[in-house]
Amino acid sequence: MKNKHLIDSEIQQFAFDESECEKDVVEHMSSCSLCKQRVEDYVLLSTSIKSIPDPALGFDLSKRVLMQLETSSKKKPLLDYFVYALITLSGLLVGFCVACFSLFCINWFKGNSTVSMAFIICIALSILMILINDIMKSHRRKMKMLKF
Amino acid sequence: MRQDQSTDKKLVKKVLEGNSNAFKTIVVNTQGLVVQIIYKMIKNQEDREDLAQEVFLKAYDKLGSFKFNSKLSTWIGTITYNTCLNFLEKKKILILNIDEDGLESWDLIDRKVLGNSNSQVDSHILRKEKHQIIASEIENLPPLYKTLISLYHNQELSYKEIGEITSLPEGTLKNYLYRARKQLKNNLLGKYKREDL
Repeated sequence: MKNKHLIDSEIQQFAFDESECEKDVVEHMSSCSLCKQRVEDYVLLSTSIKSIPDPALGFDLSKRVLMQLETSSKKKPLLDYFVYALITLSGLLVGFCVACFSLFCINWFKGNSTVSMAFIICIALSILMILINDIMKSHRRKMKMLKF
Repeated sequence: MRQDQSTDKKLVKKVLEGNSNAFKTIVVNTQGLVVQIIYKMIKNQEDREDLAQEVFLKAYDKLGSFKFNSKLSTWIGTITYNTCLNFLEKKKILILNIDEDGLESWDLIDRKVLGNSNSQVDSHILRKEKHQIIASEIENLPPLYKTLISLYHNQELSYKEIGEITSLPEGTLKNYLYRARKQLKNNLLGKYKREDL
């Protein structure tokens, strides 16, 4: 049996997780009025915390959430059309640019030496790798937040 | 747990089929936990109201990805906790600010209390505590401590469920809870002594 008074973590363990307590802690508790008092203090504190009324919002949360859901679902089709239109426009613009500058690009590639081409490709690949790494990291972080 | 899970499955299925009343039921069933976490983590009332709505809108969007590995309420609790964490991170507010000196001083206070053998007086003071005093002392704790105390004592969640919500290992969680209760108890006793009660 422990002759010294219990430390605070043991007192709290006895108060809230008695089944996990070591045998000598339980034995000490059976004979020490001071430690018993300390356990009672924590139990009392716990009871007082439980008696605090639950906080409440000053409005009907479910009603407001459902209203927002309805509004956002109404907005969605318009937003979808806008996104599709934007994608189509971007496609057309890229096509136009490629058609206009294809000759210039071919000449530019032919005019550069192999070393400078390799240099440009290396830089482009490095930037691509950094971007992919960043995207993967943020994706992993988001998935971790909802890992259920 | 199984009954909870089958109810959760039925509700989620209905929501995914477009039944908004089922989502209303989910909101009503889980708003107590959501509001409790938000109130403990966030101080500003307007931010609290915005975040409460944001949590359920996020839950609605992600409901299809819920895998039923935990209770639906725990999953929504996790979304709430992470939403609050992100909010505090943006505002550069620490959820836990522990310095070792602080911990030592808590030990000293506790030992002083024991050494003076004033336990009966302290216990009397504790018995006299009104819940407003305790509530205001809980408010003075760091956001993480407040949240853990409220999840354990008010919501009566198990260590496992609290661990799932906060992503804290059980040992760390228990350790934080010990420290939170000890700090709360010492703050209460300290204040009452100062007022010569």
